[in-house]
Parts: sequence; C-alpha cells; structure tokens
Amino acid sequence: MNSQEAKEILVFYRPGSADEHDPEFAEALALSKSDADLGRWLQDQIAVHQALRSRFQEIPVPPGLKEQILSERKAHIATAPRLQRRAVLLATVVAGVFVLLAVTSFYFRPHKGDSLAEFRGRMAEITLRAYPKMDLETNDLTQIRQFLANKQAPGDYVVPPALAKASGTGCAILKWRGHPVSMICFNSGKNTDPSEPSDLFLFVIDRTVVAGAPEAGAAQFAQLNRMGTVTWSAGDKTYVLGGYGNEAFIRQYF
Amino acid sequence: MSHIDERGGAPAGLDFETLVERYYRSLYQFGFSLTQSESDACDLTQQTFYIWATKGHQLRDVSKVKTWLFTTLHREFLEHRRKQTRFPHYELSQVNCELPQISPARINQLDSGHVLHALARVDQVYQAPVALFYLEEYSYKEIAEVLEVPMGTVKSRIARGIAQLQKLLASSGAADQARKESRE
Repeated sequence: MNSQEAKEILVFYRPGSADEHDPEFAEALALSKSDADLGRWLQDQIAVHQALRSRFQEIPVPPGLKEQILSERKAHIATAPRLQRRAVLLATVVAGVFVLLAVTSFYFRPHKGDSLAEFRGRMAEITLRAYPKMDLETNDLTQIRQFLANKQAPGDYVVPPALAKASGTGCAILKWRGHPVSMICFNSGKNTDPSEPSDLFLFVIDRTVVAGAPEAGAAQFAQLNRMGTVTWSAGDKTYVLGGYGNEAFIRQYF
Repeated sequence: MSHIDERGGAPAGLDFETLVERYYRSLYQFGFSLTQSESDACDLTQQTFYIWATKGHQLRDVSKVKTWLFTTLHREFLEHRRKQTRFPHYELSQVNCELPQISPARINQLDSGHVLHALARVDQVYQAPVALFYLEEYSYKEIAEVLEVPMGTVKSRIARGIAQLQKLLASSGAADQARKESRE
C-alpha cells in the first residue's frame, strides 16, 4: 500500500467510532505512523472531521418537540377503538368484523371531511409546537395583505370584523400539500408576554384545496389542545382561526 | 385502519417514550440537515414516530430500531421531495480523495447554520450520506441500510459529498477573507 492508496482509505476514517476497530483501516493507519507526510495529512483530516462533526451535533432541537410527539401518540391511543387493542377478541369474530368492515367501509369510506381535519390539525400544530416564525412583522394589515399577494399566497381574504379590531403583528407563508397558506397573526391584547405578542392566527387557503371545507355559513368550532379554532369558508377561500383559549375566547373574534 | 398499541407499536422491551427520548434529537438533526427547515424537520420527526406507532410492531429485530427510524425518516423525506432525477452511481475506485485545504480553525469560526447552508448547496444525492457521516456514529454498513443503497455507493457519495462541502466552506472562507482585506 502506498501513501495515495492509504489516503483513499483514510478519507473515511472517523476517530472515536467503530472505524477504529475496522480491519479495513488498520493497514492504512499503520502506514500513517511510519510515513510522516501521511501522518500529518491524517491529523489534519481528523481535526477537520471533528470540527465539522461538532457543527452538525450543535443543530438546535426545538423545545417542545418531544412533548408534541408524545402528546400526539396519546391522542391517537385515546381515539383508537377499544376492540382494536384486543386482538384476541377480534380473532374470534374476525369473519363477522370482516363483513361489518366491508359494509361500513362502503358507507363510511374516506370522504372530503378527512382533509379538512388534517389541514386544521396541521395549522394548529404549527402554532402550538413553538411560537411561529414570521416572514413579515408589522401591524400594518394593508402591508401584510400586499406582502402575501406579492408572494403568490392568498392575499384577497376577508377578515371577520371582530378580528379586524385586534392588532396585526405579522404574517408568514406556509405550505400545505404543496399549496400556499397565508398565516396572519394578531394580538388580542390579552396576551401578557411581550416577546411573543401573537395569540390569534388566521390561516387562509384556496377553498378547492381542502376537501370537505365547510359550506358557507356553516362554521365549525373545534378545540385542539390549548387552542380554540373555528373553520369556515367564504368565497373561494377556506379559513381557520386559532387562538390560545377555549371556544368562548375564539367566538369573540369570529 | 392502522394499529396502535399501548407501547406505541414497539416490540417487547421497547416503549414508545424511551424510543422518543433516545432518538428524537438525532432524527430531528438528520431531518434538519436534509430540509434546512425547522418546520419540515419537525414534521418528518413526528411522522417517523407516527409510522413507528402504527407499524413498528412488525419489526422483529429490536437491534434494528434505530436504523428503521432513520430509514423511515429518509423515505418520508424522499417521498415528500418526490424527486425523480436519477443519479449516477460511482464506484469507489472512481472517487478522488483530494480534499480542499481547509483548516479546523476556519470551521470553528462557523456555526452550524453556515455548515448546513453549505450542505444545502452540495449535490442533493450526497446530502443524506454526509449528514449521517457527521451526525451519527453509524458504520458504513448501517448508513447503506438507512439509505437503501449498496455500501460502495454510500462510500463514494460520502467521499464526493465531503469534498464538495469542504470546498464550499473553503471558498466561503476565502471570500470572507477577501472582504476583510478589502475593508482594511
């Protein structure tokens, strides 16, 4: 093995890992101890590797992510049918259940409402997980509207009159299934944390994108963890308004 | 209808909370390396554990849990990206190991954001292997399993990827130095 061949092997060498005991590296490492140039080259490579490795491992993990994962799982378990957790019982009636499922899957096959729940849940998640990052921070609602329209996100939305009385704080453009979603943020005035002033979030998306969007005049209220939400459609848009509070809180702005 | 059991789909001896505690950070960091987006990385991490909760019970070899989770996150990322481009597979012998001259001191001046910004400019096919190379003490066999490509392909991608990454970091360092000198 010459020095060049050793370099071609040692470029993959990671000190402190399983590589140290990998026989593939043994001969090249031995050569690096007798070849001074190769030894210096290897020491440089190791130092660069360790510096880069540190940078990768410093990637900050958002606070609350673990709790979000665990709470979602609990929610799924809570909604799972009891029979589903009792495989033994299921086995005894599998034929009957099969027929039942066939019949019910025909009548209750996935319909448009599934998509709406997913959209609403995903939007709520964004604001519940951590204070959302805004693309534009301003209390000028006209500027927000222009910014969104310029970025090809829904900008011709209608803000409920009660919500329009709250102070705007900014906006962001999100994506849902590849479609732009405008998030307009407001401060109800009841929030006491000056560093995170927004506590009301209006999400606007093209109505045709969300299967099962409510009909006009048929708003739907739903509580998602600590966030109250109301969902409605008007014109060619579907709206979700979420706020840190219960249904009574969110009704004040709808 | 998906199956979710009390252990969150885990094989015997592994409960969901322990798995989350053990792996959510490294999964998120891998997801963030691929997407450069906090929101997307969170979604990928959550989706990975959701899939584990629904399908994890199918895994019989408990020792493969970590690889299974990383493979699932990577699959979800690829599914999300839906990139159809076919990438050439290079044999190891074709790889040139000549790395650009960059000092550890230069890298220590950078934060992880700079390094990830450079990674985002590396050819996409090399990004995941490079991230796994630096993030985790995986063996090359395990990286090949996670990415579902042959080991020779993984090695060539890592070699090319780290060469591109270091070249980008070196050139950005040279540009910073030139700017500094012109100000002086």
